[in-house]
This record gives sequence, C-alpha cells and structure tokens, in this order.
Amino acid sequence: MSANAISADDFLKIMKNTLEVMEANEEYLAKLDADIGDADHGANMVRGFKLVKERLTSLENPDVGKIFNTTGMALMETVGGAAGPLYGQMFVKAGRLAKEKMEVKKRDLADMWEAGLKGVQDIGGGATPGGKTMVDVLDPAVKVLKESANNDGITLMQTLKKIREVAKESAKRTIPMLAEWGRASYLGERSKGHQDPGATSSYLILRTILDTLNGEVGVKIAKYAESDGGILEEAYL
Amino acid sequence: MLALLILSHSQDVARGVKEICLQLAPEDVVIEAIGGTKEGRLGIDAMKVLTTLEDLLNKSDGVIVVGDIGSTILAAKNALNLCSAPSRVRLADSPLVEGSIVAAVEAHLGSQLDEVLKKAEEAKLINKL
Repeated sequence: MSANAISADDFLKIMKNTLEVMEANEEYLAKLDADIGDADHGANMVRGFKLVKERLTSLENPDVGKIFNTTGMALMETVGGAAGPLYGQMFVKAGRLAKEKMEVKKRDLADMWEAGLKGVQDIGGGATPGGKTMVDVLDPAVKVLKESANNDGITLMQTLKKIREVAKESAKRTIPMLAEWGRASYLGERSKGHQDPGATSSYLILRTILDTLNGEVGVKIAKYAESDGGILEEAYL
Repeated sequence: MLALLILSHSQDVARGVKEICLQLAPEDVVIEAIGGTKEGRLGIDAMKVLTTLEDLLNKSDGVIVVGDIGSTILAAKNALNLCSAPSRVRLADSPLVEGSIVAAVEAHLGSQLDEVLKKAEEAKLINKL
C-alpha cells in the first residue's frame, strides 16, 4: 500500500478479512437482529462473505472494479435476506466507477461510495438517515469521504480513521431510533432501544478497510450492552 | 412478445403461481418464476433474479416483474437498477398471485407493457365477494 491509495491487492485482503470479521461477530449480529428482526443477519453475512472469498480466490487479473463487482454479485447470490440486494447493489455500483483501476485514491473512494449509497437508497425505497438502517452509517461515511476528497491537508489514513469514528458513533445513534424500514418497522415503538444490525455490519465493513491497511485483520465486538446491543469493548482478531 | 417474472420467498409459491399463469396464458408470453434461496431456504437469490431478468430482456420486448414482499421487492429493484435495459422493465405494485395472473393474461392477449402494468396493478382492487 502506498500512503495515498488503496490497491487491488489491498482490497483482496480487505474482503477476505471481512469474512473473518463477520465470523467473529456472527453471534453479536444475530443477537442484534433477534432483538428487532429475524436473527439471521450474522449467518447471512458469513455465508455471503464465504462465497466472496471463494470467488475472489479464483478471480483472474483482479482490478478494483472486478473485485467490487465480484463481491457484490456473490453477496446477491447467497445472502438471501434484504442485506443481499442492498450490499450487492452498494458494491456493484461502487465497482462500476473503478473499472480497470489497480488502485484508488480518496477522490475515487468518495465517488464510489457515493454511487453505492445512492444505489442502496434507490432500491431501499429512498431510506434517509434517521430511519434505523445501514444508511445511518453509510451516509455520514460518504460525507467524510467527500469532505476529505476536496481537502489536500487530510491523508487517506486520516480519512479512514475519521470514518471509523463516525461510523461507530453513527451505529450507536441508531439505538433510540424508530425503525422506518424493513421487518423492524413492523415492531413500531418496540424497535426503539436496539442498535440496528445493518448499520452495525456496515460499520464493521468500513472499519475493516482501515484495520487491514494497518496490518490487522479486524475486530470482534468483545463486550456489548445486553439491553440495547451497544458496543462496549472491541478486540483485534 | 412480453415476459413475466414471478418472485417469491418460497420456491413452491413461485412454481405454483407460474403453473396457474401458464394454464391461463399458455403461449405468446414468456413466464419465469424464482423462489427461495440457492440452498432452498425461504428468501431470494438476488443474483438469479438479475441474470433471469437479463435473459428475459433478450427474449422479449419487455418484462413485467411481480414479487411478494420485502427482500423479493428489493431483489427486483436491485435487478432493475443494474440491468442493461431498465426502460423495458416494469415492477408491478400488486398482490403476487392475482397480479401475476392478470399480467400473464394481458400479455398473452397482446397488450403493451404499460397496459399490462396498469391491469396488473389494478388487481389489488379486485373484489372477490
């Protein structure tokens, strides 16, 4: 990795590490989903990223666009629930802006994730921040990327650190929210007081980019509040 | 010729709805049905929805998609957003069984894409009693 770009090789590692992160947090995600959904988000994400890893291993001449496209397609194929089309859409739309690129910089990342977020919002019925979904984490992360893309004084690593903080804080902020979308919305007021599983997996995906570039695999949520699922302690894998 | 794509969480439901549609519209419309995940659980294989939609776009002048609830609708919108000819695709906001039947019959009778969509969406207003 050069200091100001993420290479195709880095992304291969990032996607593979994401599988390990999903496996380590499978039970945690299942607990969050059991509180307001159908308890399958952990297992779904693990199944999805297992196929991602398999497909990436046999990918010929991988560039960033191909890696994102392959990731999105594999998630669509195996995740089964709403997260499949949503994350699938995010990665495929983002990947279309990285065709044949062997590395991407801040500006590329900002454009890619903005397109990915727009895709998620398009198919998700126009979900906006505040509705207790993955958009609550993705939207502020895209804002950080866009701000830093226009600011030469901020490095790529500083940007990714900021995203880690903002994404974690944003996942936590879903706890008091009323779910407006998906199965959790059927619960009405009872959806309040629980951290959203999709927002949480989005946080884990985003921070694994930074963790991988730092030579780590990623984190396991080592301790969380039983009451609302809020993250209390994280440990590197 | 138009095509109809039926989407359900359940493979059995998808197959059954297709069977009814084929009885009422045995020719002049291409009908495909997808239900359940790759492993046969309840859910949807969103990738198969996208590849089948592309296939139907190649075989027809336009495709009407009808889904049941939740992730099948997301899978349909995902496919619409990523396919090569979204202008020839319509997602019908209608109940799965009734909407599919009406769409199949209308397409079989030779109606245009938007007319089929309109009739399929009116299916939610059908009084049964």
